[in-house]
Amino acid sequence: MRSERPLEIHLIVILISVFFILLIAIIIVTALFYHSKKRLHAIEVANFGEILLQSQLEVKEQTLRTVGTDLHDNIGQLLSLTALMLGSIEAGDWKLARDKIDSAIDLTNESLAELRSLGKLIHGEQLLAMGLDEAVRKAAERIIKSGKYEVNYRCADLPSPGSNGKDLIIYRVIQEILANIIKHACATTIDIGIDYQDNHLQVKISDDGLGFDPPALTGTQKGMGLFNIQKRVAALNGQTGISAVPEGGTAINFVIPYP
Amino acid sequence: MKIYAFVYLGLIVLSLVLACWSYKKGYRPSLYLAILLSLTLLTELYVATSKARSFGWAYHLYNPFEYALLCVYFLKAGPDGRFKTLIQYSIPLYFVFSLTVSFLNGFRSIPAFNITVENILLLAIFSYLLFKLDPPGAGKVYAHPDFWVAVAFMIFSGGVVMLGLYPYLLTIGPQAARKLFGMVMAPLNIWLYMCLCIGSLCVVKGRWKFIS
Repeated sequence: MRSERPLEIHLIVILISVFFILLIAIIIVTALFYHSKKRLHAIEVANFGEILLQSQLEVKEQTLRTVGTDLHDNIGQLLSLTALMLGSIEAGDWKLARDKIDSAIDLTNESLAELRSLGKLIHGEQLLAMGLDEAVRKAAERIIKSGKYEVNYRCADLPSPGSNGKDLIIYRVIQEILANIIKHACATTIDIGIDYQDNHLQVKISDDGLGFDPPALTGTQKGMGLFNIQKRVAALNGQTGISAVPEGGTAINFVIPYP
Repeated sequence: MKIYAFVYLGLIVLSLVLACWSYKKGYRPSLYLAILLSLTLLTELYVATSKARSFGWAYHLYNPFEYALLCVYFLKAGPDGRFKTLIQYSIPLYFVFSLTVSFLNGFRSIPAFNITVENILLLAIFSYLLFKLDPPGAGKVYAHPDFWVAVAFMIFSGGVVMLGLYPYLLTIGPQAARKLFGMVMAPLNIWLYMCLCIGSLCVVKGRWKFIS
């Protein structure tokens, strides 16, 4: 008869138990870690979708605002002038009437050109289909056209856009920064620079306006605009830098993985 | 009967009631868990009340049904894919294998080779299920009933696989081995049914919504 060896049994059971407990614990912890990452990713995707939708709405809203202003200030003026010109024609003086009709035709053609340009602006998605560079260039051209600002625009060669959603959010951030400059900065010069290096897009927009004190804006309505810019850039896994001095202009730059 | 047996049978009854409730709440896979728990209850009641010295045959008969029902549970709860087809084929194959092993080695030996193989398979199946859980709306994974079912069977099966060593331990020390067998199985059983209860509670408490 064999003698009992309880110590050996205990040792075997303890070793095997430890092995199985560790093995199963590793599997469960790995699964939990995996699900936690998956959950974070799902939240990020949902946030991105929300920001994209919001950006789409805001780009449309901003476009309609520009269209409204242009119709009132530009095309409206041109058409009023045309009407005035045609109304002042007198039957007696044929030569003068001819000149006025020619001027009215020029004004009408100018109005048509303005309307075509507005038509292109309304199709904001088409604007981005031409590429981010072209879309920002058009935005800069509209600011120059107002005659109140000198705009220096520079853009490096960009790779073909990855997702239109990403371009739309970037475009909206740039649009918001430019709208803030026009609204608050009292600037005369705006510099817009877009660089591309090591799969990262760097956008820098600066002005020579009034500037501001960034900490003083925290929590205020005006600070919300900056917060929105930072939130959108963060949704694209980017980083925002704001450098502003009261009476010393403002520079906002952001870096985003791209495309 | 000892206190442990009361607690053990009580937990089986509780998990059976909760599984039925969870099925009523609309979680379809719970039906197969409820059937399995009913079979378990019958087997354990027979074992607990039987005056016969050998009751191993009850577990040998129960074993292929347990595997089949857990596989059906996985088929209903798990994601679609090649693994699912594999599991479908494994049910009749395991049925034949288990009964063959029982016939060849005798219906009395516990633990047995077929039971060890079953638990290795269950460990793999539920590990796969654990990784493939898909909580809707970015919900937390441990609020999913299948998380608890998977964790329950993984730990239980891991423990039972370890008991595959039991025949060897019996040769070096029968008394100590028998004592250890009881010591290992008791907490494993409690853990299993507690997790199954928690899993069903995730559905019953309404934190998890299912389309019936």
